[in-house]
Amino acid sequence: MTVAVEELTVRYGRRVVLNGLDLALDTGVHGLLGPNGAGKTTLMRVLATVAPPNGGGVRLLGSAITGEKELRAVRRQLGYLPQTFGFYPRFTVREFVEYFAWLKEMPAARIPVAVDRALERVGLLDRADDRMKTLSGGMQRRAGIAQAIVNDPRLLLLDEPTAGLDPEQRVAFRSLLRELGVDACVLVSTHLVEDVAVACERVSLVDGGRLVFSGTPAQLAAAGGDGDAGDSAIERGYTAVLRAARA
Amino acid sequence: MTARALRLHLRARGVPRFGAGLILVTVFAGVAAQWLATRPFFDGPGARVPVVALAPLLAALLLAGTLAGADESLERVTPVRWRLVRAAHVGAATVLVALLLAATGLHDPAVYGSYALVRNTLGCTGLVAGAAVLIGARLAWLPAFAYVVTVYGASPARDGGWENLWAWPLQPSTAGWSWAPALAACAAGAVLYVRWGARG
Amino acid sequence: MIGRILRIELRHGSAALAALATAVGLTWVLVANPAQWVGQWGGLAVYLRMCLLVLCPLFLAAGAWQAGRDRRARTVELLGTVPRPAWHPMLTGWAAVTLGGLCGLALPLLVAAAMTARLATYAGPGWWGPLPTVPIGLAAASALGVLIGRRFPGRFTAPVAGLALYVGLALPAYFPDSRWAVLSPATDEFRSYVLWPASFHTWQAAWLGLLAAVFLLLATRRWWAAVVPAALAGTLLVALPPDEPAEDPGALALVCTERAPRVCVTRINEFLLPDVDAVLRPGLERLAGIPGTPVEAVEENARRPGGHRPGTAWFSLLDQATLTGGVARRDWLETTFRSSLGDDGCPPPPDSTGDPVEDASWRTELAAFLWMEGDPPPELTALPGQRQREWIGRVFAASRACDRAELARLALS
Repeated sequence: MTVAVEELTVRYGRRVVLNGLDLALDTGVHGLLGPNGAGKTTLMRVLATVAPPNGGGVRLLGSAITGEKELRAVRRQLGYLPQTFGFYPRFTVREFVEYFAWLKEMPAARIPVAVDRALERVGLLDRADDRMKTLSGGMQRRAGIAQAIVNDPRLLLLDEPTAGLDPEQRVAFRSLLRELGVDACVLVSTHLVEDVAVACERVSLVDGGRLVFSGTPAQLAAAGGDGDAGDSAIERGYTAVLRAARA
Repeated sequence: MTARALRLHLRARGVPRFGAGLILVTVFAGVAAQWLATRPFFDGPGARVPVVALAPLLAALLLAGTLAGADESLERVTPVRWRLVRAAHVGAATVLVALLLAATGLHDPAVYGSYALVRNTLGCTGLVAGAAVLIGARLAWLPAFAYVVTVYGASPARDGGWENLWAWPLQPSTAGWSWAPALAACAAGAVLYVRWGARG
Repeated sequence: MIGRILRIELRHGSAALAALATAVGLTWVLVANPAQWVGQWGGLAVYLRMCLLVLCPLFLAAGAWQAGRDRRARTVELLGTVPRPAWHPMLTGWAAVTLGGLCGLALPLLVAAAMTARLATYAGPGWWGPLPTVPIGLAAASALGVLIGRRFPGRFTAPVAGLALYVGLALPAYFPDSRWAVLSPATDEFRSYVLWPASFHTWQAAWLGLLAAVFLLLATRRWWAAVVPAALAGTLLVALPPDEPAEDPGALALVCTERAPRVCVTRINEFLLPDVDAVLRPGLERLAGIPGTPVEAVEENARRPGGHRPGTAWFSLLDQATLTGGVARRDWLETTFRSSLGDDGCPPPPDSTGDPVEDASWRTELAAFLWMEGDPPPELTALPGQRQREWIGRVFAASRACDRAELARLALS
């Protein structure tokens, strides 16, 4: 298993955000759904090694993170796009991605090629020498995706990656996701249920700090009935699972 | 504007923090001026040059943070009469800083005391307000900081002539021409800021 | 790769801003006080050290600005997931702003050096002694900035901390006799004609270098590693450097005009000699042949306490050189010369009001000065030419002998 989470508990002060969550993910594209405040971003941050868990076990890429050495080994194979993505406005796109390649301790000789490849995959190669601040919001988001995938991560965590992308870009991005999911474990947190339906092999649904559903998009769609709110089968499934979990 | 709205606006602009910082600067200026003026090896109140140059600058730096909201464009689409608000904001802040700092130089106010503090307050707040319009509130402190620090470091050897103009923060308040650039900076900065507001 | 990252930081990070700020700052300070450095290699080196009063706060602000960048750019979260230890990018950022700032200094410094080379008439041994401490002091300042910026990543940390350092560096000026002034890189105790021993400069460089190391280690939260340089710096504090500056006799050697009456300046000011000669010669020639009056004018820097030279008048070149190598204020130069004719370090007269109407000795001196200015009072012009000159000679001789009674006797009315 690339990601194995057992009984994960995270608290912010007295508020319990993740409450004994279990999750197992392997290679492939996984969707992470859930209402606002369900704990999706916190889960992402724990998996990205930014937030420490208060309880439970987290194994990433087959190893439990017990010390600095394991932490760095995992981080070398990690890609992360946070929900609020910041950048250095005066850097060019290439410089920005290059900088993160360096921070991810990629071998220097590999960096130029890897940067170009990452920029090509997100469709920004023709803007590579423009400054970050001159890009549109969607392009900045894509530059963020480029820095996340530049080191060919085995674990890729994308928090709301499609926010700000236009429909055409979203279609392209979904095919990029499928491509990435061939070799890596990709976890995509999103509110856009149709993205999950199209691009993900498996989907997990979190509510109230717990995992309330895990299965394929088709299984999620099947969980819904005609009486459930939603414009598509998978949306109706989503509503039905949440309602059942809260019952 | 109701009292609550005013309170919220002031909080949104970080005015409480500015107030706390201003009190610190005032106390510091008062203590330093008193210490300098009473050293036997200096020429009495004339030794207060550093306070006169730096205290108004520090106050203006703190003021820079209050000149813009978290999202200027968001604020500006509201129907508030922003020019009026900005005029009141920069006017009240300048008067407040000038009064507080002037109080620290009341002893012999003409010799690097209250008058020079008021002049430098006007000049520095003008520079900061103007810079907020031209380069944004985030960096608005930079031009005033660089200018005053460099003038102070260059410590013009003589007064009179051009030094009165370009080294106005260091001139005695009796040097009439030193008021001209300070007042010009104040007027230009205030007009720019009231007219256009901080760059988003 | 590290070179490439450094280049990126230099081109598009805070380093470019730091370079611009330091270039403008140094240019301004150089132009504002040309008399301190124009035409003197030693003066340029010494003045650069004084400029650290401005440059250190700028470097500190640049360091703090750089350290707060991740928070401003909202990349803290992302940086928390990378394997590279946090001190690598931190150190790169520090190196970039320090290098950027130093590059910014290069252009004004090169121009100043070229202007000095054009005029300089003396380069003594070890004039460059104060220079190596400059980059070390600036690196320490930017390291302190990084430390402060990491602890307090707010927007106003940079200017406020810069101002605080500015005040801190200016403090030694308020305690003129303190031995602790040597801790500061921005000392104003240096003179262009005074040489400090190499051990002194080495001590200062070591002290500031260790400080920089301590700041950087503290910024990376390596508390224990910081103990070593801190302890070493502490031992340097126990053994303050030898405080034995020595005047450079070569710098103070006199260079004089060949034709009499002689006008002499020290060698470091030789480039000013033609201008000084042009200003002072008319006055000296006016005095020529009058017994008891000076036959030469010598720059005051060469004056030694107690050495009374009746034939010498003194003048000061303080704050006199202009950017182009001329004398800035001819009237001031002449005034210092004339006042030395009538005063040879005399104590102030105990019961004088200083009013020529009441005090006959003042009246006498005033008449003599008016004569020097070519505007003698009528009672003096009433005397025959030869008597006038004799009278002038006796007045200046009495003045220089501090003999107020004789001056009163010489009163013409």
